[in-house]
Amino acid sequence: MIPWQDYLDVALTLSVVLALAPVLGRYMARVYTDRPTFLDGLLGPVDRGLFRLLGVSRREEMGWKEYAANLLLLNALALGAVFVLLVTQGGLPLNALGAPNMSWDLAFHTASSFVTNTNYQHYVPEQQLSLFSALFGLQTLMYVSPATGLCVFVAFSRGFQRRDGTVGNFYVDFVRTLTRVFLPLVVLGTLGFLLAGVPETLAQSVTAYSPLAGAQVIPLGPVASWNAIMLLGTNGGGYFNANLAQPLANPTAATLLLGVVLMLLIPLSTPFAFGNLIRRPGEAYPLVVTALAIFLVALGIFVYFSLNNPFLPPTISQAQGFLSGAEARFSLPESALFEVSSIYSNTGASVMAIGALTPWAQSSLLFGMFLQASPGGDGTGFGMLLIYVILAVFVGGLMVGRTPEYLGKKVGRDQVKWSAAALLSHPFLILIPVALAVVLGLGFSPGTLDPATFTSILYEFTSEAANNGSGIGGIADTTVFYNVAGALVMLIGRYLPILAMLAIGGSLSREGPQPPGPGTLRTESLTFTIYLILFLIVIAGLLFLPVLVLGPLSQLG
Amino acid sequence: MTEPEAVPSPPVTLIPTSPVPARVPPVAPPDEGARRIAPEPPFRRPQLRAGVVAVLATMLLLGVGFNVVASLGVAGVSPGSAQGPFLKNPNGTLEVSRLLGVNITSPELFWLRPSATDYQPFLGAGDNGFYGPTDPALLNETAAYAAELGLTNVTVPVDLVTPSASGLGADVTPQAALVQIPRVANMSGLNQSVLLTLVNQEIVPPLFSWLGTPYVNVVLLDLALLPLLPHPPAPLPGRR
Repeated sequence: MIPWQDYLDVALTLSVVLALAPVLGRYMARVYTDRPTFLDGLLGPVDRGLFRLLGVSRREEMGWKEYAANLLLLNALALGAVFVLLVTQGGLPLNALGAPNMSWDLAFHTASSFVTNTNYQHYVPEQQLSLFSALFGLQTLMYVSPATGLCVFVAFSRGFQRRDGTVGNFYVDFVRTLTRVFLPLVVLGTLGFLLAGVPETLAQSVTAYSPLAGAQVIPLGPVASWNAIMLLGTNGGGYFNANLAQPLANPTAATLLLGVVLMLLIPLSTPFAFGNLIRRPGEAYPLVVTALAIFLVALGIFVYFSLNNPFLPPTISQAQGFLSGAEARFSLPESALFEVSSIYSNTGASVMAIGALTPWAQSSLLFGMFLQASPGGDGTGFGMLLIYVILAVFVGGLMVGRTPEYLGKKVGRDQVKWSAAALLSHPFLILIPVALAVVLGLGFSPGTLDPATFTSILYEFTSEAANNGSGIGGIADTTVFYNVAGALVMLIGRYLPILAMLAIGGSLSREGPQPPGPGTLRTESLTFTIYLILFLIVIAGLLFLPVLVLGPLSQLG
Repeated sequence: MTEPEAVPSPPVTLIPTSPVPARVPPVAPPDEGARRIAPEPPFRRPQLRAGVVAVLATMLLLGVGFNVVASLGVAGVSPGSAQGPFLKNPNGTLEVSRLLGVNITSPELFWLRPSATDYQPFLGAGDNGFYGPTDPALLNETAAYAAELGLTNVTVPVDLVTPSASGLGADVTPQAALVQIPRVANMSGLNQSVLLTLVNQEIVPPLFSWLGTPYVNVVLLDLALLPLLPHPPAPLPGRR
């Protein structure tokens, strides 16, 4: 049995995140309303220089269509540039280990994966990625994609506050997100990893001579700074193939818990930033409580069903939990906290082998990716939560026979239409490719389609559609079908909801205010919070329970 | 600029008696009186130059620049730590990473958990190669590895007979080290109490003594064990 003290560091870590989130939220609101911040002396000139280079006027406001067009253009340029880097990396510098050019389909999958904040890795970093591609290519995308996500969040939020149809200036938001939000946090995160002994060097390998193993060539790189943006940006693509299970990248419990803080920090700060942006700070609480409540239940289920695998005989002791596919330097509650934080924030970093987990633990992870909003990835996770809120308000309004409204804006046909599109695209993007792969027999040998294999296929496309990026293994997924289908699922799964969020923000921004009446749903109340939690669970359950039963849960039988 | 107050043109106020009455429908129902829809803002072509410069700036300043600054900073401040924690030989060469496991097969030494790639640092485990929790192969493999370790009639800690997530970790639970003592004593001729003391010395305590769980770094344990062995262990894997 695991002693209760082992759960203390889980509680401590979550408390640290919850203490920091309102502070960072208020700071982010300052950043996005162009109010002075403590970094202005240092970074103000950088901002101004960048705006001049970009040729952008800070005063130029955009409607949602213009905002979306610029966002898509920037993301497409980044995607294209990195694709070219990856298919030509063999001839580019900083390739001491001789990584060959990527095939077009693998490069398409990889570049799409990193630009969409998914970071699903079909390549083996130690063998198939040069340092040049890692820095000029993938790490650049690890900044572009979460910054894009936070821009979407701000534009969406402004819809509730403005009345003139504008949602902001994309380039101003993008630059300020990078210089004021990510840069300071990445510096702090990198320092933390450095102090805990994570390597940071531009050398790509080192040779050691061990009395136990002879000469050993060990891969290295700028791991500490990679970890920082990989986690803060809810990216999740590891510098090493074993992701953060790799001992060099995640040597101790201290680095694991720091990682949890970094992953959850921005997703849990955005509700507070939202409350401050719309000048109703109290509205943050129902949203934070909803995200946290579902997160904590999932964590409880994950831990409980990882304590013991009843399938193993009693001659195998599971006193420290079912540690198959877990690292022994972390306690089971720590590994579980990291895993659930990573999947529920749609980071996708991993310290456990998900394929080795018990069926209920796997189901708890899949549920987080079905929801995408508790708390979800940087910016877009909160955007999804607002979409659930709009639908909940609409359904609630229908039930009591009142005009639905949220935060003084009437929820009308446009908003509900876009919300439903964002919500319903998710099952389509998961179930259709899964059905195709199963029917065409792709990724597994004929006759071997058991519940575990089905779970692998389901997990693969769920992870890609949710822009999560964690993998379960178990299928041969480095084929043209899985690369191309996966890339398309990731791209649609990213940009369709983003368009919906911007469109809703834009249409709300054009609306005049709706003064609260006697039939107005009080969204700050506990009743609404409970209603919202149940709404999320019921919607995700209705959409995905059948595949959950067909996949992981039928392994129980 | 993002505040409505900062918008150059005066914003429409919240009050129904706003200064833009032209948009209020003349015969609006009472509860709709306050609502009007602003016109769609103008759409300008997306700014190609801004997009290109923004991607390039992110690439050079953050994707590359930050890593270069951080790496050079570490090399300047603390040159030894750039590669992570290593043990050094007396002559200054790197001996072994304190963190990475190695493939130990000598029966006189403590063993690590099974690894599909035999602890080759460049072949860290990805997602593949793990047995599902109810896969019959999991039972066979755990039983086979326990037999290899000579642990047939005792309770075996689960971590010792299953792979770690990375396939590279140097660590096992203290129980997984303790259960190997009889075999190591038997094969090396050392006293069990000597080995027990050694294992207890090598247990890594939790951080600040309560943050996490104790574990044993088997690489460091075996390095401490080597000088105690009466004769060098039989086949030293990797030393060719």
